[in-house]
Amino acid sequence: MTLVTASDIPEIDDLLHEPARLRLLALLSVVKRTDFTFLLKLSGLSRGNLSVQMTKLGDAKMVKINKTFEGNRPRTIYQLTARGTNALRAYKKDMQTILAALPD
Amino acid sequence: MLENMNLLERKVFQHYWDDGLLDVFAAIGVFLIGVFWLRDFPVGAAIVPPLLVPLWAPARHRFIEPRLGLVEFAEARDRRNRRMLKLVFYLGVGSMILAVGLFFFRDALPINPTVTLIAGLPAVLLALMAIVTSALVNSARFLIYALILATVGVTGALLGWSPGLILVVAGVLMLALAVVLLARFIGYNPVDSGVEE
Repeated sequence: MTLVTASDIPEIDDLLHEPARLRLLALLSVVKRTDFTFLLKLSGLSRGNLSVQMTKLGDAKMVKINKTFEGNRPRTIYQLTARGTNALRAYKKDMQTILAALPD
Repeated sequence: MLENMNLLERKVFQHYWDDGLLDVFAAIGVFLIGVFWLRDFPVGAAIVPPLLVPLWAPARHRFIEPRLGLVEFAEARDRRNRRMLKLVFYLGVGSMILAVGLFFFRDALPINPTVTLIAGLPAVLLALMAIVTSALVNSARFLIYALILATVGVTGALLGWSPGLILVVAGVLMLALAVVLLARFIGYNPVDSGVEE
């Protein structure tokens, strides 16, 4: 039987270890770039929650945010940065390590 | 880009095409080809893509993007799409040349065209294009359109319909389904206000 000790558990990135943000990063990781409306439809989050989570990811430089206007409608474009991609990759690896160490 | 996200990417890509606009364009295309054929101008089918393709981007921008949003897919997806579009294009051109040729030279064939269902051939060939399109947009809907085209093609040929009439009937049936799908999409997805962005 495998015992999981504190030293076996990698440090998990709190920013990513949140369901809504993880979902958004996963969605962004499979496209080149997308906008607020598309993420809203796909993620199932509320407008406010989506806006808050994307701002946090933007502040952490994991997502590049580009705000423009189309006519009088705002359009916010999001793109996963290299830092975001690396963070997501590291998160996946860490979680796999933890899950692999868990007993059945 | 993570490597093991293919399933998610496919789902996102499929969602991108779920609105029904492509269906409407495809149905109009089939209908117009049929109309040209009915007017004894089957080579007019060649001008259907140049007629519809320029309308695609403005229609998508006007009706779909304000409701669904904007997304650009990764290079790998773009490359795959270009390959599949080429396949659809060449299959379409080849099919129409074959169908028009067989139709015009049907009397010279050593077989009875009413028995060999040649009148239904254009619809059956377009059904093959619909199957390729189904793979292109990851959607089973286009298999239904392929079934409509093939069924109307064979049935119409058995009933002695002309290729034009077969395509018009198939186009109208496809259009009916496509319009319902598009209307449903528009109904369920009001134009995004942009608030709280």
